[in-house]
Order: sequence, then C-alpha cells, then structure tokens
Amino acid sequence: MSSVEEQQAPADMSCEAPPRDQELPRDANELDNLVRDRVVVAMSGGVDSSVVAAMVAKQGWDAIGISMRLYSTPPAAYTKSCCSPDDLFDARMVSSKLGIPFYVANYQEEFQQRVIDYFVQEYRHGRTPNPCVACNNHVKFDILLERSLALGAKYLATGHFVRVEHREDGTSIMKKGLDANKDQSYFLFGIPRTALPRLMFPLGEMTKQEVREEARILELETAEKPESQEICFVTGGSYKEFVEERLSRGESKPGKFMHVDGKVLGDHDGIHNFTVGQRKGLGLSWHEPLYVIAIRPETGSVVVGPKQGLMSQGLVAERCNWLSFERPPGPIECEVKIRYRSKPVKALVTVGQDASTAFVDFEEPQRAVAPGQAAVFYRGDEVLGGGWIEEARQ
Amino acid sequence: MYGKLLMMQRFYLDWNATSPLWPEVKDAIIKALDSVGNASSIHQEGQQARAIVERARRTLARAIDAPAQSVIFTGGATEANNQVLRTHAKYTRKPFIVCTSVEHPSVIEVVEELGKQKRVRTRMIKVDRLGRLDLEDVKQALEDGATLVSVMFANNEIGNVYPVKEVVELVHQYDAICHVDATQAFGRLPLSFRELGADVMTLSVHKMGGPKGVGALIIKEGFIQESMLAGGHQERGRRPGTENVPAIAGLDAVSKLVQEKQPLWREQMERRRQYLLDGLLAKLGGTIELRGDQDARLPNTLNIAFEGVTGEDALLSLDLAGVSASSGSACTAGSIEPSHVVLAMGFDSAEAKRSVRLSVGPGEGVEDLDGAVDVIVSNIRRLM
Repeated sequence: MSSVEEQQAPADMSCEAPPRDQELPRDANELDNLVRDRVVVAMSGGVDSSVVAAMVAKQGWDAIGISMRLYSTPPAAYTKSCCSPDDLFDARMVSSKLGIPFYVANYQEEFQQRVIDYFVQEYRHGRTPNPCVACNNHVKFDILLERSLALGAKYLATGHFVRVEHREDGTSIMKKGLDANKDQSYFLFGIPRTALPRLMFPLGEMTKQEVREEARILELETAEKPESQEICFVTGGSYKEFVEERLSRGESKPGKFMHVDGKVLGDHDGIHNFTVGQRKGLGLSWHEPLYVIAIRPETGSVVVGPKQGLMSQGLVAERCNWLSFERPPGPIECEVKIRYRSKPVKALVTVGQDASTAFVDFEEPQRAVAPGQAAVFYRGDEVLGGGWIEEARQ
Repeated sequence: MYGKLLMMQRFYLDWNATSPLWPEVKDAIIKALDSVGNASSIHQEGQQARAIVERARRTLARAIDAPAQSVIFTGGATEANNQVLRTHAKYTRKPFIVCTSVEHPSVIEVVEELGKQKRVRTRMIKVDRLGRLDLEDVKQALEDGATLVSVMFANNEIGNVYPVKEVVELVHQYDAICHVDATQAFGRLPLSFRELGADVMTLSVHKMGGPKGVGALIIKEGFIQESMLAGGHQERGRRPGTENVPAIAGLDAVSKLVQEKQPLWREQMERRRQYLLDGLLAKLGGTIELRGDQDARLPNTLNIAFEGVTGEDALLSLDLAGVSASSGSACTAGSIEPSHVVLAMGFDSAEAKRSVRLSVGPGEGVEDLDGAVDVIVSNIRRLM
C-alpha cells in the first residue's frame, strides 16, 4: 500500500492544467468576454455549410459546428439524404480538419412535430406544404438559434444563399443571395425580425461555383459532394407514399373530381394526392387538358378545369412575418414570389388591421396559386417579409 | 488549428466512459509494443509474448481474488458480455435469460435481440425511482424458470452498486447461472471473485487507467464457457484470435496498481466526488436533483439534473468551457439520446434528458476541482 505522497496522477488528462502560453479565463466574466465572438455554424455535412465553417473559422471567430439530427434514416437510405450518419460524419470530419468543436444536436422530436406532422397535416387538408420553410422557421432559426445564443454565440451562421445587411442603427435587412439561381431567401421569410442581427450568411455574396472552388482550395472532404435534392426526410419512394403511410385509418379523403362547370367527372382516392396546378396523374380523359384548380377538403372534391381556370388575380396570406418593418406603413407596391421556382411578380400588398394577414393583388394574373405555399414579398433585392397562402382570389 | 477554446484548461470528469492511462500502464504498453512474437509461436519471440500474457493473467487474477486459470482475455467487456449471453442462448435447451433494465447496452441489447428468437425467453427486471433492484423480482423470474441471470456490479450512469452477492446466492438456490458485469467496479470497489461466487464475471480495465480494447471473462471452476468465435485455440479455445499483447501488458500493469491501491483510490474518489458535490450544492443549491441510490453507490459517480437545463445544452456548454462530462448515450450519428437507465427508473423523456453524469478519478487533492465547479456553476446559471 503506497502512501498518499507517492500517489501519482494519471498522465495528461488529470485536472492539472496543461502547459499553455497565456493565462486562460477562469471566472464567468472572463469567460463571457472570451465567448463574445463565438459563432455557431449550422453544418449539414454538405459543401455549402462546410465552406461556411471554414470561412467563419478563418476569419478568426471561435467557430463551433453543430449538426442537427432531425430524423433517423433507415440504413438503406444513408447516402441519399442529409442527416444520415454519413453526413454527420462528413460534418465532423470537416470540423476536425478545421480544428473546431463539433456537436450533434438531437431535434428529432421537435422536427417530427413541427415539420413532418405539419407536412402530412397540410396534405390531409388538400394544401401544398413547404417543409423547408417550416424547418427554417420552427427548427433552425428557432431552437438552434436559441441554443446557439445559450452557448454564448454572437452569431448563428448557415450556408444559405441569402444576404443580411447590418445597418448602423442596429437593425438589419435581408436581401436575396447574389447568385440569382441559388437565392434561398424564399425559404427564410419567417425568421423573426429581431433575430436578423444575430445571423450570418457568408455565402450570400458567392455563386455556387465559387463555393465549390473554395471547398476544393481548402481541400474539404465535401468539395465534390452532390447537391441534396427533394425533401430530405422522404427517403426512397415518393412523398405521396410517405404521406399515405402516415395517414391514419379513415383519414384519407376520397371524393369526386368536379369540373369547374359543375360536372362530376369521376372518383379519386384521396385529396392528399393532389396539388393545385397538377396536370399529370389525374387519370381523366377529356377533350382538353385538365388541371387541378382547387381542392375542397370539406367535401373531398378535387376541382379540375382548363388551364385558364388556374389564373388568379390575387391571394390572401396569413401568418405573415415582416422583416423590413414592424408592419407595412401602408399598401406597398412590391414583388411577390408564390413558389420557390417562380419569378417575383409585381403586386400591391395591403395589410388590414392585423399585420399578420396580407391581401395581395397581382398586376398580372398568376397561375396555380397553391394554398399552403409561401408568398414572399420583395422590393428589388430586399426581402420585406412573407406569409402562408390561405386562398387564391379570382 | 483555429479554435482557441480547445487550448483552454480541461477538467476531465468522465471516468465512467473511459480514463487516462496511468504512467506505469503507458510505459508497460510502450515496452510491449517491441515484443514481436505471436504468443502461440514456439520461438523465443513467441515465448516472450506468451510470458507477458501469462503474467497478466496471474496479476489480474490476484487483483480480483480469482484463480489464474479462470481468466480468459477478450477484446473488451462488450465482447465478453456478448459471449456469455449468446453462448448461453445457443447451448441451452430452453434458455430463459433475465437481466435488469439498467444493464449496459452490451447486455440489454443482446438480450433484446436474443428474445426475438422463438426458443429464447427473456425478461427485464424493473428498478425503482432510485434505480434499485427488488430481489423479489429476481426470485420470481427464477421461480418462472430463468436459466441465466445477468446483473451488473455497479451502474455506469447512476453509480448504483447492486447486491450482487445476494443475487448470486439466490440464483444458485434455483440452480441457474449468474453472470456479473463488473466493469465499473474494477479498481473502485473491493472485488473478490471467490467470495462473489458468480459463475461468470466480465470486466474491462479502461475505466480505471488501463488500456481500451482488452477485457476478460472470469470463469468459475466447473462452469463451461463456450466460445463465440471459431478459428483458433487461443485462451484454451474460448477466445480465438492472436492475443493483443501490448494491451494485455497494459492490463497487467493496471491490475498491479489496482491490487496495491484500490482502497486508497476509493477514498480519494469518494473525497473528490463529495468535494465536487458540495461545491455545486453551495452555489446551485435547490436547483440540483441527485439521481440514483445515494446509499449504495460507486465512490466516483454523480448523476445530476439541473433545473430547467437539458443535458445536451449543459454538455455542450461545459465542453466549450473545459469540463468533460456526459449525458445519456451517444447514438451512431453522435446525438445524445436520453439514458435508458434513467428512463428505466421511471423518469419521462424530458426529465431523463436533463441528466448529467460527472465521474471523477483518483487524485491526491481536491482543490483542482474548484475550477471545474466554477465552470459548471457559471454555465449552468447561464442556461437556467
């Protein structure tokens, strides 16, 4: 039995301080000073957020990589979507190369409730959901942002192609990404205005090609990784099958195909199978091409008609979020984008008493305004705000 | 390297996950890396390697009060646990395997998997809110025909120490087999295989300053432990595969330390754990909830829930500020899942997610923990 004096502590990892150049922070105040320039980088394991992590770290911030685990991927689909262990591994490898701490945040429950359940629910109601917007609004720029601030971060940085300009008066505005082809501002309209000053989008001024080149120069593992496409949590099979599997018994709403003229054209096996503007897969024979004009969840009818029936003069958007102001100062002439892949078109936007409802009048009629999608308002490059399409107005 | 924070002073409080090598152990491993022989070869190099392995067998046996021939080296405790359970299921006519619901995943998950076979009956024994076992439930399982009972000496997450000797006696009254996983107890608590009387015991040495990747099955005389693998005669056919001589040399060195120092280590860990707890209680007081049985526990483990703070938030913040702790178990992807142990104790998922485990190692003083207390207190306050 050896005496206490002879007792040797284990090598290297005891509580003894390792040798270091300068005195390190010991108390909370010092720590707060140190962490003032901490930046959390949301890393998906793809090339965009990998480059963001590298840029943030190179700029001298105390970068921390965080990947969100949003759902469990069946092993067979590991390579097909982000969030698989492979992708998290890629993010980890990049972080380790950059020498930054990396963590995985487990948001599976929240993602299930706020994104997947919402997605299925919207189809159940005959609407066309946008899960990417929901994820940004309710997961990334909500709980991850909150988590980042709790960790003492000054900024949350992501790999979106969008710009935020921090003005001198402390407010910030959001602008489209410079690469018109990659601009992702449509997905980000729901970020709380007060959160903008805490966000960093280092790719906003870059093109996708420049991002890849940067990744190659930095020799990041993810430099040649293909783009992720489609809806990340729908792995294998179609989103329709995904929704079908999740509708509980009796929730499927079969009904009739109704022509806009009022004629019944046949039966369909559930309104969740249709989207406004859809032409393919209706299984109807008619003397002219038919499109889904509207879906009526209360009766289970799918209204179809010729192309011109798809045109709308305007729309009503609910649950609006304003980025450039508390509420619009009055009716605003601006541009509105009603789908991710459509060009913004001129419109007059008026809010009533309640700034969360916007009435939009298009300058020219627009095709296939789909309830459930987002309507995002722009003035040139500036993202004014946006909301969720509730109804199309003829 | 860009990250300044990685350079800060670190406080390693995760000994139940794994621990730093003692200098003697590190030296022994480095020395054994020069041994070129295969321990099965008849030449001089082989004989030298064989000598290292056989010496380690005797040293470990002495450290745990077991006969030398009872020790079978494996690639770790997980492998050893798999071997005990899988071979029992395979080579028993009507296997009925019982374990507690707080066992290590290398027991629980194997039992769950074996239970999917029609011919294998299984049962998990529930624990109470403090993680304690009711011997009556064990008895009931035996009455119902259990053929093997697997129970851990001490729990890795909450630190509970289980009445293993009583369990062994009970199991033997019913002529069933008793397996004890002693991984967390090795080097921390007095351990006598002879007195314990279990049929088979499993352990590894890396929780107490030994190397990872080596473990052992300790087999009672007369107990037939079949091999899980085929393809070699090593370890008397019970564990084929060329011996990992450097790791076994490290196991030899740490076993020697354990034999000399276990009682001292226990006192030191007890003191350090108490100091850490007192420091946290003094500053965070009523916002702290201690989990697990405080009357029968390991000398080094604290399982704490801080009011209103998730374990994940706490862990990230603490790590960034220099304190290494743990919470629940990390999945393949690296995210933290709520601890199955805390869930088994009847806490719901949100409550379970608040558990933070701090596990200390031995050391002379306690003052070095002041820094850890400061970091924990300031970070937890910020998160509350």
